[in-house]
Amino acid sequence: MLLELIIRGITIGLVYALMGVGLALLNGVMRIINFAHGEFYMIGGYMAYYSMAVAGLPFYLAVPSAIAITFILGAVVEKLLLSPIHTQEIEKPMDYALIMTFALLLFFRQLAIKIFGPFRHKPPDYIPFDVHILGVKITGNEMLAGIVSLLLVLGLALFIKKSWRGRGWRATTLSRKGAKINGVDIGKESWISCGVACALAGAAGALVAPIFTLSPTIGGSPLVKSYEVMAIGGLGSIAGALVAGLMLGVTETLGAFYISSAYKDAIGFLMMAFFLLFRPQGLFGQK
Amino acid sequence: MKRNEIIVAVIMIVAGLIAPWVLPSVWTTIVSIFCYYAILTIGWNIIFGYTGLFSYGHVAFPAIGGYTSALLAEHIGLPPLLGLLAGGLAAGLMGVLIGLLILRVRGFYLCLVTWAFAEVVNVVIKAEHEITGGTGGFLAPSYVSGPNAELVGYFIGLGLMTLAFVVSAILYHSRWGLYLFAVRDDIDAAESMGVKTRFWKVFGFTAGCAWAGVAGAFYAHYFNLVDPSIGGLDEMGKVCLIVIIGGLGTVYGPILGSFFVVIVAELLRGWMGGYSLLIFATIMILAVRFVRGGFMEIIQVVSPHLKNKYLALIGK
Amino acid sequence: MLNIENLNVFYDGLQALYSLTLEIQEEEFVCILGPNGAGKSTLLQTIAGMLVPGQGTITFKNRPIHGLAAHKVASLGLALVPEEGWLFGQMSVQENLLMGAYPKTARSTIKRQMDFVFDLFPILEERKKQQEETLSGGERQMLAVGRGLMSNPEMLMLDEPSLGLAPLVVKDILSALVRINQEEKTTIVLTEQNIFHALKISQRGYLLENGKIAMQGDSKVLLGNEHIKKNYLGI
Repeated sequence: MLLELIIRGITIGLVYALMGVGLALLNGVMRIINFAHGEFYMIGGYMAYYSMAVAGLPFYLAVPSAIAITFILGAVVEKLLLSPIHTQEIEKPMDYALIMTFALLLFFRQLAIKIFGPFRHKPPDYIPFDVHILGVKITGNEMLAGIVSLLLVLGLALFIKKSWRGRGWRATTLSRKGAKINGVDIGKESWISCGVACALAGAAGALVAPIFTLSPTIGGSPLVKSYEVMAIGGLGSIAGALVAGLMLGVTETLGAFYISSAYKDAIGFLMMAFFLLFRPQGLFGQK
Repeated sequence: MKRNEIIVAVIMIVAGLIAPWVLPSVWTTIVSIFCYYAILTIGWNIIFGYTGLFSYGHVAFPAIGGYTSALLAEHIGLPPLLGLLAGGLAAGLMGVLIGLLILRVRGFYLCLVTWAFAEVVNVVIKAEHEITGGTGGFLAPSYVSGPNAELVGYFIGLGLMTLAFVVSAILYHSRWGLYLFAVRDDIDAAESMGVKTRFWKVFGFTAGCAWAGVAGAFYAHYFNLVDPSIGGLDEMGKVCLIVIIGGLGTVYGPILGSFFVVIVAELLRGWMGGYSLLIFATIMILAVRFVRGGFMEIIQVVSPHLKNKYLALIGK
Repeated sequence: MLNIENLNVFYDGLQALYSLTLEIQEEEFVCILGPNGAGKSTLLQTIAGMLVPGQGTITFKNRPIHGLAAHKVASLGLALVPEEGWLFGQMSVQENLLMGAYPKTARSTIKRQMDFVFDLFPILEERKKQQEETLSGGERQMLAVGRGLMSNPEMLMLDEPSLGLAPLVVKDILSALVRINQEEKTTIVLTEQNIFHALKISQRGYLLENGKIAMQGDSKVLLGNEHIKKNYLGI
């Protein structure tokens, strides 16, 4: 039983990590609180569903198309609505981003109710058979979600560590002015990184759509989880977010089983509050 | 208090007293909701607008106040009017605890810690359903029994809102208010001038939380029900929206903001049908994007002369 | 190489520079002197595109650059070493240097420039893998200069590189500037409060006072000037 819980925890933890790294990236480059992050998860899920159920694509094309659509959507949102944060001198960028992303949350949720309807949808299973790992049976969907999430997180980490653009993003996080005088076009990098962050959320939503099913209000919980992951891992740390996601996933699954399933959602918040108060640099950060 | 503020307070009371006799009865409910948000956001305005602490867990405190008052009424038969006090006290005490805890953090971290607190409160309320009634909520008695219950509740809300407004206005012009502003604007300078910044931080936070508790208790007895949704993330977004639209850190901000978010939204609801929230969100996005200064900028476009009056009114 | 005409700049609603006109030739070593608050940093930041001038023109290699965004100016061969460094704390020394070569035009000469920087400041090579935030003040300033050089600039602008450093480190940095000017033929614009050192190593100087050019001329001439002697050198 314990092993099964741990494996389930790891699977869901990898999805949490995927949500969290997107947010960490966005928080780093643009320095905003984004309350609409979970809505891209919801949209990603629906896009995967419609790609399969309506357009008839196989899952290995449906998930990438969901990622592509959420990337474009994220980039457009940044270009049209969030760009004033860096193109104009806004007196209180935090307040601006806060209301704007909250309005976006409301907007996407209401739009989803109107377009997709309030009822639950479920795309066909991506992998319609179960797999056994160390004697534990998990569904093919769960395995796929875990593996693809891991690959995406590692891919992003590698990109940020090694590529010119990734280094530019890190530089922007550390010193905006320094990045500017060295030739980083913050306007352009903002919409690209916003697109990437939203695409990662969209990927998470698309991957778990057959597991959790879809409704217009599913964005709330992953939003919360991604903030927990980001806070536990340390703001802006990709490696931290990965480990934090795994930690959160496993602790939650174990806690729900051994302590109380009603208190499952409190576990993450308590961990987040603990880290913020007593170890604000996160898991790996140094003070 | 400034003369303008006294005038506004008097107008609010007079208009509030007349309203039930000239407006359809549904409006007493809407104005009561307005009062709830006004008290709640006056509290948040003290915390964020005056003291500069970005609390994203403010809506936990009306939940605490509401449940405290409702539970006390149920188990020891505490009258609702005393329940208002008890709710405020309970929220205030919790505010002291959280306020002491968040002395360790600033800015974005503070925002996340307080949010985490609010969510934990929410989880506890839902989980302990044997005590709290879970997601279905918990029943609370009216202020008075009989056919006038709603009207009495309405007047209590009006009175509380006016009181909260007057207290926040007095605080704004007082020496205590100055200490809070000093903490907000430049904490290091305040510290070096001998202001006990840690004390004033906790004070500002607690004062705001206590008002939120009162608001929650008022809400519980007015609607005879308190449920976990008053502590939800959506409500917190609404609180931010109200205060920022109305004018952060100003005396009138919460009142103006609540007026627009509650009453204007209600006026528009009728001919928007099921699309009201979608239209509301769209307007919000467009307003924030294109008229960034909120109403200030709209007013400026309409009439530069009016803008000066508005500025004078909100005391900037 | 750089022409500035009638430049007026406002900062926080106050005028910081008043109809400033100056000209810098290729391969020159020019210093801009003046007391704190005279407008030296404002001038360099305006040239680098961090501030938008209210009026006036700035041309670099016959191309108007006033109002051009900083990231575009960076790719034209004009590098700024800012006063506060604006370095990247949680990046290694090497990555900080690589950021200096971020413009696409600069990426082909990375190896050569990095070797030159390590030759100028050997300590940076030793600290290559260390994070920027672990460096000493002097090493940070060297890193800032090194990062500025990484884009192989035709003109290097330095904003008070000696501020707050020990005399020995100041000497290292200033002599490195002379080498950069002589070996690489890089035009150098240096702002300094430390007027004596600056005039010793530069060819020409401008004296800024209250946002206006109070005096200009050959460094040797300025060094002998009574106004400068009396007010800035304390002789």
